[in-house]
Amino acid sequence: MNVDKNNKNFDELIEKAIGRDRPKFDFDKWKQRYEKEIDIFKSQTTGGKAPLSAEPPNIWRIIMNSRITKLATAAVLILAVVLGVTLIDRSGTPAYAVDQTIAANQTIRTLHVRVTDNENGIENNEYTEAWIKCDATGRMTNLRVNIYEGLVDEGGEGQYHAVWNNGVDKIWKPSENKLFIYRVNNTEARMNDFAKKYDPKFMQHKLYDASQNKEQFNVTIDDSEHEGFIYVEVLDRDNQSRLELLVDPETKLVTQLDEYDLTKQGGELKIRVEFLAYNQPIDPELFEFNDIPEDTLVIDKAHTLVGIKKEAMSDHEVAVEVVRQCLEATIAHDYDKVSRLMEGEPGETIENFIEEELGTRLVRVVSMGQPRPFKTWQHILYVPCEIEVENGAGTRWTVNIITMARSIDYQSGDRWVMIDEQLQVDGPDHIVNEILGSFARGIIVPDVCVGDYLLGMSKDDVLARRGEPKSFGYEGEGFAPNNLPNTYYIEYHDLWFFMQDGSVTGILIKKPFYQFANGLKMGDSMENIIQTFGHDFVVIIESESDPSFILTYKDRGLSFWLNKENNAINGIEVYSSGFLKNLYRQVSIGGTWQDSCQQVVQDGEVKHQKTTFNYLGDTVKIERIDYQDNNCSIKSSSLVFTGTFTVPRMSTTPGARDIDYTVKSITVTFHTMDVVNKANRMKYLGYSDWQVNVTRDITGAPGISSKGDKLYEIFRIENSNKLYIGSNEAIGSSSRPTSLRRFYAMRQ
Amino acid sequence: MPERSEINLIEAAAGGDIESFGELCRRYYAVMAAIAYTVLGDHQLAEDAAQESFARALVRIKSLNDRAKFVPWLAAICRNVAKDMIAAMAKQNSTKNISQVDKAENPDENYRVIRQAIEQLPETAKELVVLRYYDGLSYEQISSVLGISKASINGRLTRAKRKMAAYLRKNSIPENRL
Repeated sequence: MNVDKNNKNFDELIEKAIGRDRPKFDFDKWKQRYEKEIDIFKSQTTGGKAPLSAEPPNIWRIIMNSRITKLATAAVLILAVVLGVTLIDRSGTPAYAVDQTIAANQTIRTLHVRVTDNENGIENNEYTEAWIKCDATGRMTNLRVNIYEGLVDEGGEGQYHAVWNNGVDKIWKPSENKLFIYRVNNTEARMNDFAKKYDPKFMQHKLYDASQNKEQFNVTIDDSEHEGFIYVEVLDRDNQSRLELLVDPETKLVTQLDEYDLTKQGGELKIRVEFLAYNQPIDPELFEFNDIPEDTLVIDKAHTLVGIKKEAMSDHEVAVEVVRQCLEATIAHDYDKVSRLMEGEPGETIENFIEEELGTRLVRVVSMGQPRPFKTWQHILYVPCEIEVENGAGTRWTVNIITMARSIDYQSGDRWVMIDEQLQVDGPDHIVNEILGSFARGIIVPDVCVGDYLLGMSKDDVLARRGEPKSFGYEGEGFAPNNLPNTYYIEYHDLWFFMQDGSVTGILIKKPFYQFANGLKMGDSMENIIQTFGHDFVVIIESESDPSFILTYKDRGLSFWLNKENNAINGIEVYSSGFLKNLYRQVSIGGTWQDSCQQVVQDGEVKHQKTTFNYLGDTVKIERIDYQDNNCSIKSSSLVFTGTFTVPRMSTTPGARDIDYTVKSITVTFHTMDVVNKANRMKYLGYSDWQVNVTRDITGAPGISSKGDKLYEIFRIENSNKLYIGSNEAIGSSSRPTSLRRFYAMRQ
Repeated sequence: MPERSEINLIEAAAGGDIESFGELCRRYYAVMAAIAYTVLGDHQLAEDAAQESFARALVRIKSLNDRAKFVPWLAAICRNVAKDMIAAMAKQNSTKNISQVDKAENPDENYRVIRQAIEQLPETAKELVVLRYYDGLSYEQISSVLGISKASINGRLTRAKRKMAAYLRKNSIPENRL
């Protein structure tokens, strides 16, 4: 079985093998069954806090407040382990006590550590390496972090190097050849969210509470020193994690820590921390960037004010304002201002973006949209904007773009900047649909127009209105403007014009700037479409692996692309209805088809046959008549099959489509006395009372399919008027044919 | 009436609202039953395990630190409950796996063979297949339970089905029987 090709069948089989009706949950019965647990639940209070144990070593708290969260996370893990073990494992009396590690930690003045996280790090050799230096009191004075993400190539892609020296952060991105300098004067506030989660005091409270619940932690210490280490394991059942520590028996310092995520099957390794060196001298040069290339662009956010002050504005207002100022400064070529508003990014950033994406220049800000929060980070806002752009020929039009703004916390005062990371015309569907949908300005009139663009426009009309397109193409092939075929697309970022015979025959809507008169637009659901246009549609599934399927109203000239996962519209196609009807006719099996008189050999007998196929809606009737003569004029028997059909997918047979029938009835009629006598003699299908021209329902008879049975067939339509079906002769075969008949039926 | 958000329900449940917990149970009953079915291979036992998981979760929900991980957390509890049940049954020699489900429950021979094919999959893949087909969970829902991306689910599911197909071929299951 080819899973990829017969996916749907296989899916159905698996479903039938293990699926079942959705089990119903009766909460009242459950409450009766678990009264004891409910009592415990009700009796639980928020609980008092236990006295805190000794303060953790300074170095860990300082690391946690650094901007390098991966390192902080690693530190927290260590802290969690030592505190957890200290709190919980009082009763044990092994030769090694975890208190010894805590005491040893107090002596740390330098540390070299490597952290590998779970995402792709372990497989792809992605990791973070850090060097930490503290003064005699344990206060961190210098930090160097090298982050290696993605494929580390010679250009330094995926590398970030950062140093922290007495309140100033410097981050060097070799791949961009940029050095960012920040003053870290409000680290506490910036790390507030992080600290809430990982603050050591908070953690101690939690661990103490947890320790009251004997079921939560299980600590195992193996100090037999096999393989040269003391091995400590902490199982945290509630948080579904397991920590493994290797402790040096001499120094009592941890040399490696692994955290396993038990919510992943088999306990997936989440993070590995390797403590490469304690208290070894570190070259002071490591904490400077004296050896970076001379042409590195220095973006100094420590000594230059960036962004704008929020003052009395709301978050939404200041976000809109900073973006608006940025766009206007771009129009005025005030690159210094753009750079300041964009945290030191090059002043040409927006200009270059518009040039690269649209092949145009920005001439005017038309309107600013309503900001929306970026995921759960409330301090970052999407700001949609409508801008007017102009191409080299002087043609102007408007475009919607998405920008982002955020508050910064590395400079005093509440300042906001525009950020470039998400500057886009194209974006994830949900963002584009949700945000840009609010700008929808053109009305879609089926069979007529999309906004101002009419079906029937010429190529020159399109180019005059829209300027230079992104490309001319068709089915993956690109064309030069002076050498266009009869059928092609003129492609813009928001609309594709489908050209045939020199005029626009269809318009494909790629962005939600257009909607139907009742408000139906991209992002809406299939139910919304059906409410608007009714049930006279056809569903087309191009392939099982395609994330979308198509809902076509051929009489209206409309096709909707829908996301299979959530049935939301992610594309709309508007055609002249005549075109779509004709196209549909070319590929649709709907209608009546008939063979010419064919000579076939069945069961060793030469026969002459004609078959008529009638497909109407989802019903099918196939009538096969055997004739006595080679002109197909004297009937001998008729076999009639009725049922329903679906066309689920492209077939594994090249050039064919699969078609699945569900049997409703199968009847047979014998038309001559000779045939009737023969049937009665042989007790055909168990009957010996066959009569001339009397039809008998043979559905479910021995060897004949029963009502509801599925039959599998293939077909191919050529030139919209020739129907080829599978080469299997017998109706009722449960396996799908793999080749087509050599003769065809003609559309009637 | 609009459906309450999951995080809202979890917060309320952790705050002591038993009815919110009940709503969470209703939402995830079928999912947990599917997870338990992977281990137990029996629909009724799987439902028992799901209910037992809810009981264990109820008494611990207040200590759940990361509310966003409620579903994976619940799923982990459910797996443990199911494994506990297997261990208990092993003492009584009454364990089954998916492929040993009573023929009366699903008499078709093809289906039994397919369940065997599922049984031979690695644990992760087996659970993924069951989640997808036991109750027809969407990739979105599976993603929230297993904490892996939809693209990853798609890839893993395809690989799992290829393995199943290979098993079926290896065990001489004629294609036309499938």
